[in-house]
Formats: sequence, structure tokens, C-alpha cells
Amino acid sequence: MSLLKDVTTAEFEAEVLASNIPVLIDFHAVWCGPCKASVPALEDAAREFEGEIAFVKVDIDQEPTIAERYNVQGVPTFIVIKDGEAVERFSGLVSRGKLASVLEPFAEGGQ
Amino acid sequence: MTRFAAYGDEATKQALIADIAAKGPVYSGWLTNAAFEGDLSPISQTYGLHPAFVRLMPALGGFGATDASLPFYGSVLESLPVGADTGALARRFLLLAWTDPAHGVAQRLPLGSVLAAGEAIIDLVRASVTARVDKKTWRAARAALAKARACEQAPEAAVDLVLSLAWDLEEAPGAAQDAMLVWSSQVMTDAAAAGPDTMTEEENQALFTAMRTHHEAAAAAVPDLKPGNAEAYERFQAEMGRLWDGDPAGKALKARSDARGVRINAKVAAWREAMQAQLLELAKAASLAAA
Repeated sequence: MSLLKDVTTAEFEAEVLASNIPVLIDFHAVWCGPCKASVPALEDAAREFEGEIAFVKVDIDQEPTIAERYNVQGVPTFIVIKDGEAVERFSGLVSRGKLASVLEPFAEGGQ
Repeated sequence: MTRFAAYGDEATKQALIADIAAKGPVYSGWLTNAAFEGDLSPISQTYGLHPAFVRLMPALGGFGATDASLPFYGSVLESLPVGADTGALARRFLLLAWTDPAHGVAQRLPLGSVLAAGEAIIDLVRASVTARVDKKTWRAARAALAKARACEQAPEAAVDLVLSLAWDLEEAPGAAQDAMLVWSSQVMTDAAAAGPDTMTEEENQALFTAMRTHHEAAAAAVPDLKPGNAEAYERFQAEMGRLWDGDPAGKALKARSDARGVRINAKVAAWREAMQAQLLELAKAASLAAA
């Protein structure tokens, strides 16, 4: 079962902003090739950091309000939210190595 | 470690090979772009192929962009003995990203802490061929390399490739695909930088502007251009040709860019062919999965 949960605008507050662990948001679109190419790395990272970092997906076409809130100009865009604040942001097809380097400081009480 | 014994029997093996030769449903769902978003676990379960090997194959074959990899798929699957341990095979293959004399990244890292951290990761990859390395150990090894990179200059793509190898393929089989994507991207970047005719940032920008301008003008001249309308597409192409003819400076840049693209593609194809040959050799020598 996928650990990448799709969130809607209605769920965003509870699932992301009020989360007691850091959350990685994957802003994606169904027409985006690099978004699809990132999925295996994201699925594995979600398993790797299960219980330490939550992973959610936001479809920018379905949930434009969230995309606008974070000024998402292209996909994929990834934003790490900690205590309700955006603390890290990167865009484009991301390698698994880069993903791990960015997320590991937020895992297990880091940062 | 999870053991996947290839095929189970000869009939299953031959059925898979026949499907791929005919570009049948298994081929379409596994060895093409569909692999990016598809759940490939049924391939593993049905054919006894380790999930990392299942992820490795389409990436190494170029995701079915052309039919050029069809013979490669057939040869590898034919060479794999019934009962082969394709998990160990995938791990042995991924070591080449470090050790291959022509394309491996070992020689790209400068002497120092980054190289030492990279070597520590490769030692774990070697160890994982025969025994499972736990998640904590992989994570510590990745953190050590990330820390070393923060303190020392090192080629980012090479470090990213090594970081992509530092995962437990039992839990994270997609690492095999990602490592191949990072590796091919690095080969492409190297080929682009190698010349002989590299283009400056200004030239690239000028070409991009010309392409966009001509594209918009040609699209405006062919308002009925739509997917599937081959006749309109031909008119569009003719209009693009006319616009390039009227822009000799832009056309010269485009010719250089096209030639550069051909050279880059040739280098990537040579790398892919060399790596496919290596996988084929490893497949021929594959050990059997433990019962």
C-alpha cells in the first residue's frame, strides 16, 4: 500500500499544518513525466522514514489553492513543512540521494 | 533476505521471453514508460524475479523508447538459469556504477573524506550481495557521505549516484531504477561538456528564443494543428523550415545544437550498450537462489 497520501485543501490543515512530525509535500500533476519518475524514490523514502516524516501528494490541478499558497510555479516541487512552517523547498526531478540528504536531518529528532 | 528464484520452470521462462519478443502485455507493462508509475510486483511474483532486477531492466533498456533493447531483454532472460538469484545479480550489476573503468564514478571522487565515505558505501553494497545490511547501517553510511560532501568539494552527480546505491534493495528496490537514471544523466552531462562544439549560455539562450519565436509563428500560421492531424503537422513543419531559412544565424545555432544532440545520444547509447553487455555476462554467471 502506498504511503504517499493524496491530500485535499479540506484535509491540509489537519494532515500537514497540524502534523506532529515533519511532512514532505510532493506537488505534482498527472501530465508531469518527472513527477512519475520520482514516485519510486518517494515511495521508498516514505517507507524509510515511516513514523519520522510524513509524505503527502498535492495535485496542483485539483488543489490549486494549496499550490498558490506556496507559490508553486512548476512540478514536481517538494516542500518540507515542520511545525506548520515551510522549512525546505526544492524542485525538479530529484535523485534518491538528494532526497535522502535533504530529509535525513529532519528524521529522528534532527533539526 | 527475500529470495526470488527466477521463473520457477522452463515453460514460464519461455512464455516470458515470447511475450517480450512479441511486445506483448508483460513487455508493455514492464519494459516501457509504464514502469514509472506501474506496480511491478506482479512481475516479481509471477516470474520469480527480484523487484530490484525488475526495476533495473526497463531503466537499462531505455524504457522502450526504441526497439533497440528488445534483443538485450531476450538475451538476458534467456541466459538467466531457472532458479537464478536476480537480487544478487542486481546488486553485482549496480557495483559497476563504482567499479567500471570507463563509466564508474570511483575515479571521479577526489582523495579525501568523500572518497572514503563513498568506499564505505560500496563495501556495504558488496556485503549486501550475500547478507542483508540493515536500514540503520545504510542510513548512517548515507549521512556520512552527505556530511563529507558538505565539507569537501566533490562532483555532485557522482556523489548522488553513490547515495542512490546506499539502500536496502529488499525494502527499496526502486533504488536500482534511480541509480540507473542518475548514472545515465551523468553520462549525458559528461557527453555534453566534452565537446567538441560546446555552446555558450548566450548561444543556448539565443537558440531557445529563436525556437520559441518560430514555433509560435508557425503554430499561428497553421491554426488547425492538432494531435493526429498529420496533414496539418506537415504544413507546420514546412512553415518551421521556411522560418529557419529566413533566420540564418538561428539556423546555424540549431544545426550545431542538433549535431551536438546526435553526439550526446551516441555516447549515451554506447554507455547503455556497454552496460547491457555487462548485465548479460553477469546473467550468464548468475548463481541460484538459496532454497
